[in-house]
Amino acid sequence: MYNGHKAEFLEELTSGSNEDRKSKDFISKLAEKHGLRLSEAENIASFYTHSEGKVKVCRGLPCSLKSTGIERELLAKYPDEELEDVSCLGYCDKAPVAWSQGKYYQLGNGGTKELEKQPYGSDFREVKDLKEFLELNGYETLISFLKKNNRDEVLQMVNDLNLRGFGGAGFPVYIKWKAVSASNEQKKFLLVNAHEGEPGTFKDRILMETNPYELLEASLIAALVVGADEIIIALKHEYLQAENTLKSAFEKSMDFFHSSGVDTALPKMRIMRVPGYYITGEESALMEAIEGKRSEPRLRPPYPAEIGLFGKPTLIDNVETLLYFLGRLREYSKDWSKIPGTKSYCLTGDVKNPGAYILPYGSPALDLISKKGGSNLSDLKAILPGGLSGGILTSAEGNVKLEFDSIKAHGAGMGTGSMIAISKDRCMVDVMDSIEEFFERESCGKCMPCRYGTKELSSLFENLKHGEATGKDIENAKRTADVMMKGSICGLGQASARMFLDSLKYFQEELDEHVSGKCPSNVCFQEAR
Amino acid sequence: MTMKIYIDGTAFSAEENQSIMDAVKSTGLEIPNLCSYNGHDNGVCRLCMVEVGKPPRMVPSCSTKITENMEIKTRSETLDDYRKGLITVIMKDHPQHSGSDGEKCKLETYAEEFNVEVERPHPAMDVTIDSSHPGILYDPAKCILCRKCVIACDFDQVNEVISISDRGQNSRIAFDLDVPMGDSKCVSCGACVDSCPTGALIEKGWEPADRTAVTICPYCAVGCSVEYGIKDNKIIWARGYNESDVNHGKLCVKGKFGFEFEMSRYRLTVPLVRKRPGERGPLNGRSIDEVFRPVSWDEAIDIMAREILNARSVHGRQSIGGIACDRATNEDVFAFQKFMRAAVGTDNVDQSATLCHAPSASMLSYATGAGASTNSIKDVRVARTILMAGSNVDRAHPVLYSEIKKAAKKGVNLIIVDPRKVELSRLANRHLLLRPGTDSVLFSAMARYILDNELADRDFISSRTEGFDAFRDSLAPFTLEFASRVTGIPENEIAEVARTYATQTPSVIFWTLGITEHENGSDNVSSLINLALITGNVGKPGTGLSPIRGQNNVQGGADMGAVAGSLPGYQPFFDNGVREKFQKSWSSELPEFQGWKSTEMIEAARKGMLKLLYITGENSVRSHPDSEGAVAALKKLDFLAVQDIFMTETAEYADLVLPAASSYEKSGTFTNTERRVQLVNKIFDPPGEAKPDWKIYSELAEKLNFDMKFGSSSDIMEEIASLIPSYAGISHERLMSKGLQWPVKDKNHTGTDLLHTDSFIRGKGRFRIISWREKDPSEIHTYPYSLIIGRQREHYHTSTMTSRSKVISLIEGGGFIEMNPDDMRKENFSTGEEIEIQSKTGRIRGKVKENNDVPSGVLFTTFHYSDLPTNTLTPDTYDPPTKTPAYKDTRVKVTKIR
Ligand SMILES: Cc1cc2nc3c(=O)[nH]c(=O)nc-3n(C[C@H](O)[C@H](O)[C@H](O)COP(=O)(O)O)c2cc1C
Ligand code: SF4
Ligand code: SF4
Ligand code: SF4
Ligand code: FES
Repeated sequence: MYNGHKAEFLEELTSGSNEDRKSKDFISKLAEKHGLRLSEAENIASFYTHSEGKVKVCRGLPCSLKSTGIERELLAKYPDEELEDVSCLGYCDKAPVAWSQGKYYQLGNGGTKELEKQPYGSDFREVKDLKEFLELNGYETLISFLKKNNRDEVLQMVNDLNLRGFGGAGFPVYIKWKAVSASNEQKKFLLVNAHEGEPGTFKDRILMETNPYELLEASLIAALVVGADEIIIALKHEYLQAENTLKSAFEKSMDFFHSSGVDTALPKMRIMRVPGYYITGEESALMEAIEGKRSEPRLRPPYPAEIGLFGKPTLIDNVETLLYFLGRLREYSKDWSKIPGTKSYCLTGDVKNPGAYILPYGSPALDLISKKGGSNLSDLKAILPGGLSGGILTSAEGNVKLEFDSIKAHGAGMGTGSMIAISKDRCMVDVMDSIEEFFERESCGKCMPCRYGTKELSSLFENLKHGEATGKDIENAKRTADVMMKGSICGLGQASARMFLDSLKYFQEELDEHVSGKCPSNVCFQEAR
Repeated sequence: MTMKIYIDGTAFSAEENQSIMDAVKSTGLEIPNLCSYNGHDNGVCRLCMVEVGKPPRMVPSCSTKITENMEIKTRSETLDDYRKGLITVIMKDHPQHSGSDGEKCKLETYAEEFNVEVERPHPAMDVTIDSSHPGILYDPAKCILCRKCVIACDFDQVNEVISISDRGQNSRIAFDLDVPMGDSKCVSCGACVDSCPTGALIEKGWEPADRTAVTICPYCAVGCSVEYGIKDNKIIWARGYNESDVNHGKLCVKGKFGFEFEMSRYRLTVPLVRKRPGERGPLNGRSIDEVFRPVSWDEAIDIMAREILNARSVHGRQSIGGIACDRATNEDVFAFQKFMRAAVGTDNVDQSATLCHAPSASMLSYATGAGASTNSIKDVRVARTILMAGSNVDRAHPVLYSEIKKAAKKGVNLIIVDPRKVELSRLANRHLLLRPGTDSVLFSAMARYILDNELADRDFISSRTEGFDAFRDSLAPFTLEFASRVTGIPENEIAEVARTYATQTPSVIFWTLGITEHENGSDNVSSLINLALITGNVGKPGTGLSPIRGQNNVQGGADMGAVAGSLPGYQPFFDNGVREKFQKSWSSELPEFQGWKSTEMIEAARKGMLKLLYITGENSVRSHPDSEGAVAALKKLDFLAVQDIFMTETAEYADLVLPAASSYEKSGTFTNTERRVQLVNKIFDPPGEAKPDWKIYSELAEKLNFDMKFGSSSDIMEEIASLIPSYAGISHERLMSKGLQWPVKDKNHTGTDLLHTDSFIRGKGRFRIISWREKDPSEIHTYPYSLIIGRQREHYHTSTMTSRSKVISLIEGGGFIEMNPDDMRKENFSTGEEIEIQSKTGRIRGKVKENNDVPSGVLFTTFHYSDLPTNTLTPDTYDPPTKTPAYKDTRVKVTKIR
């Protein structure tokens, strides 16, 4: 038959060895096996460099802030072609880190240390087995939902609560749920976005590793509410441990469902790791990757709720969005509207105690930075409230509440709720250089405003850092940023522009000083001296 | 449904369900864009933003649909700034674009339009230009990754060679698994080049043209419209014409690169007379001047007229024959048969259909009343099942092939019946690799299976057909078991395919010469027609019986009546009313006897019954079967006149050679395979003294004291319209904007894309009973291989035109005999080795090449190359009703040369 099996091709390709990946012969045989044309094989294979043999070195902002410059030396025993720079490994609180064969390593001054058993932090209770989960009233909500099947009531709750997605966009949950449940198609998907990629964000991983059952329960209920008959939990490629944890939890749960006589009423469940990059966390790029295609955002409309995964209506939600929903549903019978619910926040960068913390949703930033992070606001120059895509705040804005509207009122975005703190001693040009380089590297290249724009912004900071940029260059970059904001297909191009525009908003002087050859923080121009 | 929209404040009504860009375009305004590709959502350049609504919101116009009362702003300060900003940031990364590419680079055009100044460009990319393709250059530094070439190659042409490789900043386009373009599976259709907005993919040696002109491609019967760039009165490039309803901007390698013949220095430019009459034979290395003497047209016409008068008075009109050219226009062919019938007085006229699709035309006409495809190319988009029989569409009709591939990608049931594996096989649900020549058995067994299992359309049979009972009884021998034994295809596969064809409807059948060029070609065609009749797969959208015609105007040639025994428009030669009409119009008597077909004329010449033959545009020496027999026949004539654009192998035998104009050098019409009459536009004057064919006929007629009454080619069309009812509504003027599919009943009728909707043209559909005769086993024993003569994608027939293209010659360098590797081993041959092939008719030598697609026991070769004159081998075995030769199944043996 005509259209080959791209997903199978990609799966087999990325589970091959480094050697295989380099061999054209291997790829052309694989293409033939899965019914793909050579051009299709090239198109897919050249996009994904993944193979099980690679050693990945993190260059995300939290890791590069903590870099001691010796990471490469520590990994010197690996041949160059096995080493690969990546933009976030999801262990940002242990920065700087590397990944190999499913294991994480911290590359500190003390050498390479395997991060074997994770200390998740005291805010997270590790639920060791199904028994413990059930003791905590786990699956009760699911069973009772199955009995009542009160889909409309639950939808109404989602609407009343004004739930917003925690995947980054903060999109109202109700609108998507409503649209998917309204569709009459036989086949519908719930896609759980666990392709956590925003630098500084690792809470989804912790949530899944500490309590896999909770996500299973939340996804099952959500799927039942919108009428999806298949759930796919899509994890990022490095999250091997989370995959294993979820899979074994699911197996045990199935036994339980079977003995409770509800297993036949439940949707199908697939737990899979998906190769990809930062962009793969973007919902339509994630669907493309699952279909075995290049992970590039789709044009919208049509929206996933109409035409999603494999052409079927699809509800896509972030891991934490679903967990938060389940938390609220559990409280539903009580005086739920008064209890705000809690959210997991990440804190990385220049703080004393980086980590993931649970706080009441909407706590002030100060609480996170000082109470949890153990640092003084006054030691910071800037805080990035939403990883690299939520823009920039200054330390003067520490009273901002960590929820969508409040942060927005301050001109930034909450994104995933992952804060990166930037110390007073840092040079903003240097930090921005790392940020814009990230966007340049992670732009999927599909649309022109972003592919060309990120390159220009990145080269601007590169030039500023070396005293080679002019005021006119900054002006021109502003116009480019405007094009990126208006024209990019997805949020990546916009985020890149926004970071630049925010850096101008608060730190134009610092940028200007670099134009005249001075780095106020004495970070740049060091080699020259 | 239409919608009301406002464009820059003005209200328009627009078709719903279209993009803002298309809606705006239909008002004559183009929104700036770099990546829009008709019919495909691309949406990557983001230059096409417009503002909609209040407060204005920016949206990409190419991928946003219009809505009722939408307010669209195509110009505003915000948009101007945005567009300028975007072009600036793109230009910054392409310092190579510096004004030198002129009109070929849209990016530069916009840069100028928006006054873009680039400061501090990024360093130039360090890349090498890929010049590995014979006709195309790829310069990665100029590429802006707009992805149009990917759409062109992968989705529009479905050649699937180009893709985006790598990621993000490192993205680039790649061919196959990232090999140089010249090493890839590229079929040189040029669609990528035609779509590229920057000239990153460009024809080698491309230059801006002084002017452009649109006309119909001079090659196959798909009938693509081509836009030619012309400089210093030469065609310098070609591209697919987007406004065509046939090819929608696509071409194949022949259309794209095969135009150089027009300017060839080998064109015939003056009439030539053989210096020593009687010594008819090939030039054999002698120059034309040595053998021929240039003469004036007056003298040439005198000679020809004298010879005709002479033959007529000595041997009678029956001793004169003429073969029309199917690459000439309808007007030319009409004039030719009028000349032969009215001025010379003989019905010995034919055209090359006898060498190809005559069985199709004649059996379709027998069954339905019209000797032409019942449906249109566009029906492949509606069909649920497509059955392709004996068709090398990939090679012979690449643009139609794209449509079929597109349908296959969308999930149509594709069934292929062919003894060889063909390119299309990979897309097919089933490929039935049957023994050559056994097609009618297969289709008859399918018919029996369909009837036995009650899968037939009973209503259709009873209300729309006749002769069913007798037909049904005649199927008795065609059991699955019998068919399986004869064809070599397992019973269950025959049953499955029959079931699919009958139940997954609408089903359409396409076939080409693999069906007709057999001893039992007519039976093969009839067995397909019978299948359609029992399942009702005719007369509805997505159904049909479609012979894909070969030469650009072979359909027209038959329509125009260059067929012995059939007056223009297939009007019966012996019908008194019809004869009266023509005699009155032509003020002349029509011949009384029915004439000979072209293969019969050659036979008659050999027997000394035909004395004078007038061949126009046919390379009979190479294309007729039993080449040596054909040569002997030509030598036996008293007089041979050949009219052509080149000194072909056939012209070398002539006494008189007349230089004709090519289709670039005259106006007229071609009728394509779906009965679409399209205007051919004159681009240049003919070279030297060459003339359009119809003019030559008129002048000859005048010498014979007959007035053809044609002042121009459009005069001829007027006469055609007055005499052929299905062309009644056609005039050159009407065709200026778009072609029309016949029947076009009157000046207001817009043509017919679908025939036989409520009733067949002849009333009821008529079954035709066929029979099967096994081949003589002793012949199979002596000649163990079956030789199939077909074609390559790059060449056309005997290559008189294609071999003049530099690019095409570089792409495809020579002829081979293709053989299955197992057979090669058995015969102890190796690829490249010269071997001898022998049939009972003749023997030739040629190089052998291993090919897995050729089944054991079969050989494949082409008739494109003069050093591999394969038709020396084909015996003069004919399909009895139509006298079409059996090119597709010649028994041969092979021997090693020691
Ligand atoms: C560049 C980019 C990266 C993204 N990465 C993630 C991610 O890692 N995880 C995630 O859940 N959503 C991510 N998103 C957001 C998703 O597109 C989508 O909005 C989200 O999965 C929807 O779920 P929610 O409504 O529950 O937030 C990303 C978006 C963009 C534009
Ligand atoms: S904005 Fe960037 S990441 Fe998003 S589609 Fe465009 S190029 Fe890709
Ligand atoms: S010439 Fe045709 S086949 Fe070749 S790469 Fe271009 S579009 Fe594809
Ligand atoms: S080669 Fe031309 S058509 Fe293809 S992506 Fe590049 S600029 Fe676009
Ligand atoms: S034409 Fe619309 S994005 Fe390129």
